[in-house]
Parts: sequence; structure tokens; C-alpha cells
Amino acid sequence: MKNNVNREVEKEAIFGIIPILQNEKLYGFLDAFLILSGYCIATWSYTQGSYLATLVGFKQLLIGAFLGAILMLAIYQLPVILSVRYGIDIWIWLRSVFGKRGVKVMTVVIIIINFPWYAVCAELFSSSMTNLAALFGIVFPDSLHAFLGILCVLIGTFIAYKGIGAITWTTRVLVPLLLSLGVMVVIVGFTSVPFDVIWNYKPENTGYSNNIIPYIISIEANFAFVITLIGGMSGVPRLTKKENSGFWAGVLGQGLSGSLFVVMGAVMAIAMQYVTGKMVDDPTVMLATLTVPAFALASLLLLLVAFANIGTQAVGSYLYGVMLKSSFKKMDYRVLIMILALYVSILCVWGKIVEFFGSFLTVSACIYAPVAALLFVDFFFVRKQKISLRSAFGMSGYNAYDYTRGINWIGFLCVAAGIFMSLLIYNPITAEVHNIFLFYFTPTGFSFLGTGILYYGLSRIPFIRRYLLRDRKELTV
Amino acid sequence: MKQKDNLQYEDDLNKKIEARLREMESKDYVFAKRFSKMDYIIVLLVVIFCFIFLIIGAYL
Repeated sequence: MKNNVNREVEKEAIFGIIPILQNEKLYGFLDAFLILSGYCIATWSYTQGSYLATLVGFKQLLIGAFLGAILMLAIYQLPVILSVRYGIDIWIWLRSVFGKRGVKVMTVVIIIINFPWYAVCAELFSSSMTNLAALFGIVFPDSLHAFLGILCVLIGTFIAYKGIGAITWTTRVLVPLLLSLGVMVVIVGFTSVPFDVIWNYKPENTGYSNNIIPYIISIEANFAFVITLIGGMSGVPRLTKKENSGFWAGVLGQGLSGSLFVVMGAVMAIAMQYVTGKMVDDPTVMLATLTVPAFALASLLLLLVAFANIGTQAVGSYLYGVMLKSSFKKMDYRVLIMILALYVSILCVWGKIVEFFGSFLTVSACIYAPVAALLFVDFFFVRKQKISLRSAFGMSGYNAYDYTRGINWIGFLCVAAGIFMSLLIYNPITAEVHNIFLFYFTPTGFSFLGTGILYYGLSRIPFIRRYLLRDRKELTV
Repeated sequence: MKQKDNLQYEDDLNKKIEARLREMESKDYVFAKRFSKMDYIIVLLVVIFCFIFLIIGAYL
């Protein structure tokens, strides 16, 4: 049984690595769009929605959540066309940007900054359970909060441990569940509060005297929210039959469906503030507070929210476990998901991930934005859409991406510069703006632009160009 | 034993990759329909549309 799970994961890892041929492609636009829509929605979308509602009015929120998201997605996801063309994941291409060893370092870095999302999920599970217990007259002590979060992580990890069969069933149940939860949130939100209250909503006190700052922070939050998908952005598009289908499925899957759930979270938060005076990001509390009879509904909600969060944790553990397995082939999949579970559990014990949600978003975007910029510039302007596939796959005798002991220091230098550019204009921990002019670009936008220009500029210097483009004589497709 | 398994695994994987790359390099191989000029223009229009509305949003 244990070996079966490992073998299945190995198969998944192989499937994730090998180039997919055109006759093996599975999806058209609609299939890919639906799958990616499911991939983008999770209970943490509500956290994002309620966070945005603390910054801007509803109309600004709508513009930022949909158009801000689509703007960033339409630019940074353009390189997914390489995934469709060659049937490869962007992580294969990124070997040319960071080097064979460097890409492993980046995989770990991306997982470290991305996996706290699952702590947000566990936090939501914990607060949902505590609040629902309170509806039944049971008061959980504060000390139980972290324990409940860890429980969510452990059950999710256990499902991931069971392998692809359990994950497939979890996904089949999870997506309709999240959709029905979202529909309930919208119906309850709009029927329990007058429409005008939501439509004309503006936050009372954003903490900033200049209104443009919270608006830009909200756009930054939307940019940061969508750019977090970069690591997994090509998994489904590489299985699509046409380049434009793969691209638009990703842009619209997240830009429309994902953003819709963010807006639902905002509607819920605004409705709750109107009724109770307190903004919440927990759908259980909202639905139980705004619907009658709350008690009867509570049991159903308990199951819905609990499974949604556990399911998200399970799918996340599995996907990242496979991703790590692809990079660290010799490590046991089960050990890898245990390490991931330990990491999230530590974050649950810390217990402040939701409090620092905005900071966490921007800190993670500090790294995602330079990576996205490098991929974009490398694909379109440096390598001009051609790569040495044999070197990228590390085939014997092909060493164009070995660079300096497996690391492309130019790529890492640009990432460091991109992080610096982002921090130069905004401190995500203290929410302090250092340079108001550059802040108009947003930290993520400026870092993306700056890193891209820097990388392109460096690639024009002859000796760096020779260092980067050792692969030209190996091009075959 | 485990080391032997790992070597076998890598060897099998490389053989699969090589076979696929060869197929991709063959003259008969048909790649996915390319992103056309029109597709790039649509992306540009979408980006401009979103950008204009983001600026309008600042004044709401």
C-alpha cells in the first residue's frame, strides 16, 4: 500500500515532468477554464475579500478585484503559451533562468512563501469550528484554537497521504461544495442587507489621510493575490490543444471565477459589518448570523466549511508534495508532505497569519513578481521563445543550463534586485509607503517592470549574453 | 538497493523524455495552434481597458 502511493506519486511526478505531445492533449478552452476555476477558489478568497473591504469602497473593490486581477494575469501569464507549445511546465523553462540547481532552490522558496495560504485555511477552519460550537452553547478555550487548526492540517495531510484516488474524490466533492457555499454567501448577503448598503459601501476609517494610498494597496493586494498562482499556472494549460485556449483559461479562470469569490467575501464582510458592526471573513459566522433559524443551518454549515478547508489542505499538500517530488526525486513523498504539514502546523501555533494577511501577500509577491518578470523577459526577449529542451531536462551531454555549478547567478541577482525594488517603495510589515511616486506603480507592478528591464539590460551586455545563451547551438525545435 | 531503484527510475524517465523530444523534432510533428498576432492585439486591448478602468477607479 505504502509503495503503491509512492509509485502513484512517482507517476504523477513523471507526468508533471515529461513533455506532453500534441496527440495526448486533453483540454479545450472550456475544460481548462472550468478546471482552473475550481483550482482558484478556496475559503481564503473570503479573507482576501474582507481584507479589501477594509481598504476601499465596493465599486473600487469590484474594479480592483476583476480588472486589476485580469490586468496582471494577462501580462504575467503570457509565457504559459510556452507550456502549451512544448507541453512542459514553466519550471522546466525556469531551469534556463535559474540553472538546474537554482530552480530547486526557487521551488523550495516558492513553497515556503506560498504554503502559509494553508495556514489561512486552517485558521478559518479553527475559527469556524469555535464559532459554530458557540452557537450550540459550547465555549472552546482559546488554547484550543491552534489545536483545531493543526487538526485541519493533519486530516488534510492524511487524505494527501492516501494518494491520488483520495485526492480525486476530494476534488470532486470540494469544488461543488465551494460553489454552493459561495452561492449561499451571495444570496444571504444580498437578501439580509439592502442592496444600496453594499453598492454604496465605503470603509469608515482606512487609517490613511490620503485616499489614494488604500486604493493602491488594494490594487497591490489584487496583483499579489493573482501572482501567487505563478508556480502552478502552467499545469493545466500545458494539456490544452491551442495556445490561446491555455492562456485565456488561466486568465479568466482566476480573473473571473477566482475574483468572483473574492467579491463574495467582500459582500459577506460588508453585510456583517452592517448587521453586527464587525467585519468577519468566516462564512460560517456570516451565514449563521444572517440566516434564520441559525441553529438548524449550523450543522450543515459545519460539514460544508469543515470539508472545504480540509479538502483545500489535502489538495494543496498533494500538489506541493508532487512538486517537491519532481525536484527532489530521491525523497519519499510521504516524508515531503509531513514536512509541509509540520511547516503549516508551526504557522498555526504562531496564529497570526490572518492578522498579517496583507503583509504576507506583499512579502510573497516580492518574490513572485521578479520570478514572473524573469520568465516573461527570458521567454519573449532573451531566448525569443526557443529553449534547449535537452539541457532543460538535464539529458546526458547537454549542459547549457549548468551555468556556475548549477546556478544562474544573473537570474538570482535579478530576483534580489526585484525584492529590493519592492521594499524600496513599500514596507509590507509596517504598511509604510517610502516613495509615493513609485508607489503608483504598486510594489508588485514596479518590481515586475524593474526586474524585467534589469534582466533585459543585463542580457544585452556581451559577456553576460554569452553566459545566458550557451544553449543556442543546442536548439532543435 | 534504494540507490539502484533511483538510478533505474531516472534512466526510465530519461528514455521517455528522449523519445518524446525526438517525436517533437520530427518534421511531421504538428505543434499546438500558435498564439496569433490577433491574439496579442486582444491581450493588449484587454490590458489597456483594465488599466484605464483602474485609473478611473482611483477617482470613485
